[in-house]
Amino acid sequence: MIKITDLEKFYRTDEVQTIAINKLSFEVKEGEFVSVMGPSGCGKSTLLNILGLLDDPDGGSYIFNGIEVAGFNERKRANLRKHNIGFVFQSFNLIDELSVFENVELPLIYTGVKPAERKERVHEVLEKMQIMHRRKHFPQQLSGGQQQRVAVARAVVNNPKLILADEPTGNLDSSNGNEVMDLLTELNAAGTTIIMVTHSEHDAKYSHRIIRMLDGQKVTENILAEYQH
Amino acid sequence: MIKNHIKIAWRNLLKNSTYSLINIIGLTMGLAACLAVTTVVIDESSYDRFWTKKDQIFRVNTINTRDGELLEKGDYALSGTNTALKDFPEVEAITSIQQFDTYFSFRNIQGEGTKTKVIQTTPSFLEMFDVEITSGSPKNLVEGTPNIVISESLVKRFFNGSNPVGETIKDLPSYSNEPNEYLITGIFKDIPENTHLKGQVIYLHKPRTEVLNKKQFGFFQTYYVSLKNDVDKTTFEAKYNNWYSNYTEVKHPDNFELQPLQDIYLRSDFAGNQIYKGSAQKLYILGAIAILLLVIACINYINLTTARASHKMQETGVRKVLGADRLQLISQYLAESGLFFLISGILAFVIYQLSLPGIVSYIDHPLALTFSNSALLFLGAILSIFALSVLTGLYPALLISRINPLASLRKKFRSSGTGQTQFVRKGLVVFQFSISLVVLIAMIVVNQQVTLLKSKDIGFDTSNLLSIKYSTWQNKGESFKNELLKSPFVQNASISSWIPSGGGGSMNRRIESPDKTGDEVEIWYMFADTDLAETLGLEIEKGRFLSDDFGGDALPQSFYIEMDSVKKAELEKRPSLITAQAARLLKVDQLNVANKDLEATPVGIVSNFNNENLRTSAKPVVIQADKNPDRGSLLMRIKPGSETKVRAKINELWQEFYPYKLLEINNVSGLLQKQYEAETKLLQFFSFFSALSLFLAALGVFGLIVQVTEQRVKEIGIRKVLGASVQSIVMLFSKDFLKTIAVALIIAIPIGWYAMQEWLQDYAHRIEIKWWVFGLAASVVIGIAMLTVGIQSAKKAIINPAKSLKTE
Repeated sequence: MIKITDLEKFYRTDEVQTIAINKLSFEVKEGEFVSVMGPSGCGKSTLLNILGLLDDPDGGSYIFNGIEVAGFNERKRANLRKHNIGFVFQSFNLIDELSVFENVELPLIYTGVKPAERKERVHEVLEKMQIMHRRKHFPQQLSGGQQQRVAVARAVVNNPKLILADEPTGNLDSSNGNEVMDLLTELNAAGTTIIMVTHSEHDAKYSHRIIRMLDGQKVTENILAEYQH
Repeated sequence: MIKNHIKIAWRNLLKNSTYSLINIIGLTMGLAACLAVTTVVIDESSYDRFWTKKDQIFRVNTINTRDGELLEKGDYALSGTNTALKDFPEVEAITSIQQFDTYFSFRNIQGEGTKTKVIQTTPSFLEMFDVEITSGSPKNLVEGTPNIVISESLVKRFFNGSNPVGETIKDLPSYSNEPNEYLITGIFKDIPENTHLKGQVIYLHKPRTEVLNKKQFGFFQTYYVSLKNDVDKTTFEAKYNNWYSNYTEVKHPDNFELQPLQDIYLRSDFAGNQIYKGSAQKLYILGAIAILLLVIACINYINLTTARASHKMQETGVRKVLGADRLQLISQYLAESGLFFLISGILAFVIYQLSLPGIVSYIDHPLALTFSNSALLFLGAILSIFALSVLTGLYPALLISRINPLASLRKKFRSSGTGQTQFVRKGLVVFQFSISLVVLIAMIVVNQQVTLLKSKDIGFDTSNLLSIKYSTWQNKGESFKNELLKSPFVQNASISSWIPSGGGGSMNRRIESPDKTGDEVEIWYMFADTDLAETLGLEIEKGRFLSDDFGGDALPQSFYIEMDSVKKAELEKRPSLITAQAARLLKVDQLNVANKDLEATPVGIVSNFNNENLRTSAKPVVIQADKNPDRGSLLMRIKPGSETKVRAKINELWQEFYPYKLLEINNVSGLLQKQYEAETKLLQFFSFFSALSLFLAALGVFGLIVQVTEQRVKEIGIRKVLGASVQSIVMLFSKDFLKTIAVALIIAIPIGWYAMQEWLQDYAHRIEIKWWVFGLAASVVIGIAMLTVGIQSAKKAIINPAKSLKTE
């Protein structure tokens, strides 16, 4: 589903050029659950942003679903993004002014889904995430775990092929964190490809494969024992 | 989608109440003021546009030029022009029009009169101006009694709905002793207010049929002509002027201009006979001000919204990540500005409605068109406000929607905005403050000038002076005056053809200057009984006052009858008072010597005084006396604090002497102040506009400083942890605004100085603009801005840094 080859990303200031991603190559197959780990500043989030079509690489190739997307303009990227990719952030990034229902509904509005269908699909996903009873609440009225569940619900409501999770449990206690990881596992079991950036070895164990990075490069790649074929 | 936008906009509005309130107050004030000023502009420009033949009717103006230079232009033409014009096939109709006020006694009660606007004209007026006659046939004049047609509202007011056609009413005369009678021959539907031809009564008479004098000599009248539909005005003008130059026998024939009816109200500065007129220039100023007010209010909205961009960045980033395209985001922010404008628009309309009576009293005439009585205007206002909300909302919308989602999610959007947006924002604040400063400077200068006009010593004591309006005295003037002088409160009195505020004098004459050949000195003459100079309180510098004790000081009325060359030659022997200025300019060194040019023999030199208003300089004056003058105003010098008693005494005597005549008593200082009504109104207007623009600018600064301090709360915390004092933090924020205001000062001071210098040029007596005017304006603006910034930044600076650091 995803194939990156010799991917590069630089950050430039007036005097210094920093390499964030350095000739990185790997592949993620459809239905895989991959964790990306590494110390702060190793380029994990940059990688996630490029994979999520939020950012453009400076070199190399990025094939998404068989299409070369490196070099796509913002409009093309946005279009591809809204139909195929769901995001889960560490800080949830829910919109405070919108209720749970409205937050989850938002991606459907942007993809032009009709109101009746929107309602049905939002209800369905809220039921699945067990937060239906909170649909009229606003983000500030929810616990961290509940907020992240809403964020996951919002990420999946459009049935994306890929979910990108950036430290999804980073702001949660262990019990809420486990709940979120269970949710992601369930989604993966249902066929959604997941790429997760994490610092947590515990969370990484939920995935099939762990890519470890340092200074913008892949250091190791482990397939977890139970997923080895 | 739209519902969603509005819902979010509404929630945002409630959530950020301070920001919303500032925006709503600013926009409401701006919109309300703009609606108010626009109403005046629209009303003034709507004058005389409702007449069916508005494009065919013209006023005949006379232009007198010499070698291409305009000497005189007037809203009149020689009597007989009507007869001449009638022979041209291009002319459809012609009428003469004169406007004045008369006191009619509609209920026929003796001594009672209602001030009524009268149009004196000929029956063709009714056809040319499509005045709708609802009763009677006034076009057919009835011989004998003067014919009048009265308005429906007068009928309703005075005749209890019964039809007064055929009835006779009287007036309360100001000249003749006995009331005049008028026959009501018709009723007309009230003429709309927005015309310079205001009339509650139309007084109809036969057209005068005199022949145009070939020597360009005679009476003048104001004529209105309607041309046939297909006639080109310019071609006809040329044709008539050509005909006239052949017809007249003078060397410099006058030129005639046909002034379009729709131009008459606004473009008639030259028109001395026209009572109701506006000023196109004033209208441009008002229009510009309406736009500026709106711009200031909109700048606040733009500045506050862009300053809030950082608050929006995360939300915008999330929306973008979730698939929102730029257009969707722009439309959402436009919905937000739409909501602000909608709320402010509604509030502005309420304020506007409440302020309408104030506007009417300010402009001093009813409004024919307002945003609340014209559906078209109302709709226009709604559409304009909508368009404005889009225009105003567009820049912030474009700016916020441009945010890179990645940067916004990482919170890397600079809290103070990018260099470009900062520049735009500061530029807008500079613009706002420049406007406020210019207006403030204008207000201070106008205020000083008005104070000068109203308080300058004009050569005599203006207080404790009363006057009875110009009248005929029916040979009882002297006795009336003597009776009045018996009152212990009346110190002096004079029947005079001139009173202060009544123009330069009774007549003027240009005399060759003894200093320089070719130069002329303009001398004004005043005719009164012998007591004018003493009643005014002029001081005698040399010689003596005029006095009845000297037999020849006052000329008897009979002298003027059958004036022949012998009598004319005697005029130069006439004992006269001249002002010191006249003596100096005409080199009068010796008294009691006849001066042929002056047609006077100066017997006394009195102190100078301003015979005209202070827009012009004091002119040399000659005062001459008539014996028992039968026409004129009565001027009285009374004891301080006795005005009520004197007024009562006058009323009592008037009843006795002139029971049928109109009595109008005026306080002379009031009359003099009234001369500066235009300046006073200008001052009121500038005061209002200045206060409003300062308020809006301060509101804008308040909004900005609230945003800035909120965004930099962490910085404030860190600075405090590192040892910064509250003052140093206040200074930190104030410095930035001070720089912005300094730029505004650099722009505004030269503009303000230049504009006010130009304005002052119209006044012979004018103030000098001192440096402190700019200092005061700058202090006020800096004071207001610094107070706003200081209080808000101090509030943030006293927060415990532990708390402010935690908020990030």
